[in-house]
Amino acid sequence: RLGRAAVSVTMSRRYDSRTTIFSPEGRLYQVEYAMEAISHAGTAVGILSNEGVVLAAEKKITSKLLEPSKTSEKMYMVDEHVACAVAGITADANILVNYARQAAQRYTLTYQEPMPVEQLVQSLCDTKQGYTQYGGLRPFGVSVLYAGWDQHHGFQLYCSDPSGNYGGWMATSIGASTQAAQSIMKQDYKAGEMSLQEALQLAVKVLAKTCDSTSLSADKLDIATVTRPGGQVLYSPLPEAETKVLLDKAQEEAASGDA
Amino acid sequence: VKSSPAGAADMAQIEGVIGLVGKDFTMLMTDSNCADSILIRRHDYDKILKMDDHKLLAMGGDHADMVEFGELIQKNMTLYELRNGFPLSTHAAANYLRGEVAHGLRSGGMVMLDFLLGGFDEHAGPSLFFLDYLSALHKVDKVAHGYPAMFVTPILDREWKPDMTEAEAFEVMEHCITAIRERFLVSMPSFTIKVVDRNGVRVLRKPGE
Repeated sequence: RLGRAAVSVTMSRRYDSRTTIFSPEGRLYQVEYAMEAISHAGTAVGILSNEGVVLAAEKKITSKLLEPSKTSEKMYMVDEHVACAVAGITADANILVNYARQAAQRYTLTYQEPMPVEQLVQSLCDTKQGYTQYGGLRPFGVSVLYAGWDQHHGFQLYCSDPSGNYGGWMATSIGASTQAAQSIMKQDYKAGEMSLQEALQLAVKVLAKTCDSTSLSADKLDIATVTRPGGQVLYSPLPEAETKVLLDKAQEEAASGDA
Repeated sequence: VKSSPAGAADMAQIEGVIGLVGKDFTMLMTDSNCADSILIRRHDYDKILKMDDHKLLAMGGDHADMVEFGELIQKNMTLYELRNGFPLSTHAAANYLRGEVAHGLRSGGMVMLDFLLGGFDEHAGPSLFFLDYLSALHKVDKVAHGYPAMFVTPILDREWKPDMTEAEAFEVMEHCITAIRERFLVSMPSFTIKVVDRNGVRVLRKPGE
């Protein structure tokens, strides 16, 4: 039966292959397909607290035979005052993180000051947007969470996607199970009243619930904070021992039926 | 003028640009002459540009560059403020300016100007930046460019002190003017004086006054 839906499906095949054109319904299919790729990636969450920003991610360990790497595939330092977590195609993420690092250094070379966080986000998003409008190249299959501090807006958390759109958030997530993650955070997040420790605990709780909780262990989590002790911004990856403490607590609470 | 940096530098030396930092303001002064070799075209030329609500750029040197380069920097600073919702800090603006002058040095588009950038920032207070045509940048309390600097620097050294009031600073500027008129070969009947503080930019003495 040739219903309207069937016609759209066969029609959409024509608009798939070129990234830089609209479909008749006004959609950019390549951008949507990129987001689909990201929805299979390890979840990453970002939470803003009064004392700093928390980034937490689930590493998708694909094989026991893989050498544990010193560098993370989820968490990156972009500059001394900005860090990011990524979800999606790792090779694409590497390119984007490199752009971001260059943009930050270029700014500091010109102005001798750290790049304001939102401007860094905008710069990367402008790059991403370019891949949806000209050049004929596919978009980046990466969503990014940015955590940073600057003197204009204090601690900030941003999220961007393959379309080049971004938003400022108090708490958000990217990768797999974002709907589940968002609903837990919407319930538990108290705007303006979260301490760093509470934010850390909430982040781990969210990951424990949205990932396969039984098999989740501390070595599968990558957690980092951006704080400002003594007036100096600090990006600080959490040691595995501390991650374990948070995870044990989260799994305990889950087991005891804590909603 | 541009093709001979040495020649151009000689002429630029004649222009006086003087600045000092007070308790909560920065004061800038230039002579108001517009000269063409031995002819003074006009005595009421304004060489102090308002860059934004809390920044002044005093310039000495090639007058064509004053307009073109001065306004280019001014417009780029406005663009930054429009894009980002806040202006550049004085320190950031000074470093941006330095980069542009430095770029011109090795790209055939030399900027034959000496600058004093004076500004006021909430967190940093008043500040003054010396920038010359070879892109040497220094943050200073008191300084001058050009031949007039030779007559004025001893006065600044002796009379400047930290936390001066606007009246005290203005008096120091008047002493500078006296010294220039007394000893400098080139006649300078008029000086422009402007000040920038928390409330913005003010003209204390108009060009031609």
